[in-house]
Amino acid sequence: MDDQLLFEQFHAAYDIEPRAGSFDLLRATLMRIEVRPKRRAWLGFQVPRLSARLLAAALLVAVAFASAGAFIAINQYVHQTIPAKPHRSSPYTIPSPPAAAAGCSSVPRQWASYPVHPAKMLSATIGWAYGPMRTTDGGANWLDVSPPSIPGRTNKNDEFFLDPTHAWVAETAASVDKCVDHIVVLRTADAGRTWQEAAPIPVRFAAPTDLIWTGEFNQTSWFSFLDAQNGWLLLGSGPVNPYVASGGVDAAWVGAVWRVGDLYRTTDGGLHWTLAATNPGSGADCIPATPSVALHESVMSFSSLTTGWMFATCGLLGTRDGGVTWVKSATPLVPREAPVFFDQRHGLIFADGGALVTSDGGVTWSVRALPSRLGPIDFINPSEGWAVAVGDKPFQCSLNDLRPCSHNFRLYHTSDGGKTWAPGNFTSLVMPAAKFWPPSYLHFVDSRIGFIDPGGDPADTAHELSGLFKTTDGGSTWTRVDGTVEGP
Amino acid sequence: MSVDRDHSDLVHRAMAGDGGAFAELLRPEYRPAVRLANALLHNIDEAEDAVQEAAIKAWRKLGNLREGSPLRPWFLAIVANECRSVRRTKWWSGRVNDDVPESEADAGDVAAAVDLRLALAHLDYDQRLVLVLRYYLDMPFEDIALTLAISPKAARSRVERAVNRLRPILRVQEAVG
Repeated sequence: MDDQLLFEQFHAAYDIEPRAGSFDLLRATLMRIEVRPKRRAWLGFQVPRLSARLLAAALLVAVAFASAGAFIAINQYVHQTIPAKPHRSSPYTIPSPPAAAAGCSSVPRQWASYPVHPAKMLSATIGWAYGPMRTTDGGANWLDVSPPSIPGRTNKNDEFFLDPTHAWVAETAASVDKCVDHIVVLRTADAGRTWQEAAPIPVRFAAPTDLIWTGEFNQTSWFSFLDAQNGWLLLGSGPVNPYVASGGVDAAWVGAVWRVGDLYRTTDGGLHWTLAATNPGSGADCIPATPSVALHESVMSFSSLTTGWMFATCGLLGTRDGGVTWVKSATPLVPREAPVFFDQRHGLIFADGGALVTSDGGVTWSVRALPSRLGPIDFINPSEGWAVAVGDKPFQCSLNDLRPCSHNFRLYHTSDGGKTWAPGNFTSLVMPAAKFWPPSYLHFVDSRIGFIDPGGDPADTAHELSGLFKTTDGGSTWTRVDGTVEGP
Repeated sequence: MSVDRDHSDLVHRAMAGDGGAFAELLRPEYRPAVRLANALLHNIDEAEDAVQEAAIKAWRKLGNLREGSPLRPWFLAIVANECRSVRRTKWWSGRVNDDVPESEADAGDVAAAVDLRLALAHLDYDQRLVLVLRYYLDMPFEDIALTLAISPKAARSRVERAVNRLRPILRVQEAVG
């Protein structure tokens, strides 16, 4: 692959121009708002060495006291129950509470968005979407069931959905001297009607300038719950990427790389958390990593109270003692995420160049081929699964041609654990939409009922062609089901 | 008045709160910024929004820009950071709903474009970023280095590592496609 070919391929794949008038819009915005940049003195001054040492010592003492205080607080904390917000209709924006520390940004968060992209459909009718939002009619209507914002809330958070009633939200929050320095976990056991708030968990920082670890796009993946009581929470921190730090950007909102981290465990459904391990992987060349491909996208999963897995830069880490110790597991392909287990023995991982399956609890892994140009994929048990992949040619109708395409994305099905994949018996996965873009979500709840999120069409600003689609016949026909969003 | 004087005048006016002056400073950087954001976000709406957010942040931080330093790498770093922050929801980060080239592109070109985008989805954000800076924005290693705050040698090394990571993925896709 020579340089010239790469130049040509990148330009062919991405060439685009800003839309007419978009710069004028930016200019108008800049002229409308009031900004007074602060001057930064570039003439450095020398800090006396003794003073610097005294300052460092004082910082260490302060950190030690803060950590001890936080530990005591966690173990003595009595969780509080708070109701979900009252509801109102139509999408809306809730401004984040102002951050406490000076210079911390506050980014308004769009809680209810349309169309809704589901996070986890659990049955033909019940499902969750990030927000959290919940549906009880198969995605036709979504209700915002999110807890009220916590003080100092930031835009870094994670949500985990276990079953129809249990969900967890982890919110990061600011203190008086740092934009993000602790986590607050909220748990619902009644489908979002009420939330219980656990004690704040401090995030450890190796250096004062370090930030909480979030992975790509500030995409967090901190949780893993085995059942309604037993769960794990992976928190890390590290330095900001150097190229970002140089830009004078607001470092408070930049995902950090992993340098130091803690794995917490709960046995009471997330109301209390205890430290299980520090720095799983325990090396600069083997640190937890967030998956970059949208399959199941978990950084950590557990198949029992003792056996768990973690996706790391060095490959797959495994624990057999509930997360206390972690060792690297040998796999024939490089994993791209933590495995999904259907029971204590059967699991699979999506990897570079295929999938890995195990039937002995992860002791050995076998390679399975996957359809080429793979999109989302889903298995309901160790044998039966579906995958969406790009069809042969041409896979997409013209933006100006609303007629159905004869070939585009195809749905594949396997009933032998991925040994063979059969393309669906349809000319296309057009569904009601004439134009169809690579889907971002595919999930089957059983052999017949499944959901797909076609991902939308950039030209379809009215969202007429995007949304959630449902099949009740194993994928032969699809019906659009998404509807209204109700917010607080 | 020289170009430098013009530039310096715009900087001083922008520092004094003149939005029009800052917009003029950004004008030559706007196109590469949108192209970068679109390549990272795969959505022109989100890309233009991200550039707008980045512009406002850049204006606030204009005092951090060293005198005489080029504006483009600095601004593109802010844009790249903004893009990193834009997507919160998990399935968006890896989704492959790429607006592939339409119009007259033949099926082979379109398939190659999709292959490249799918392959890039397997790389981490930093690797995608260096490849986009190098092969889409055609930036020399010196400018990539300024954007990433690393040495030109390290920039070259990062690009090479990303290409080495991309190559086998593309080969697999071509082989099974």
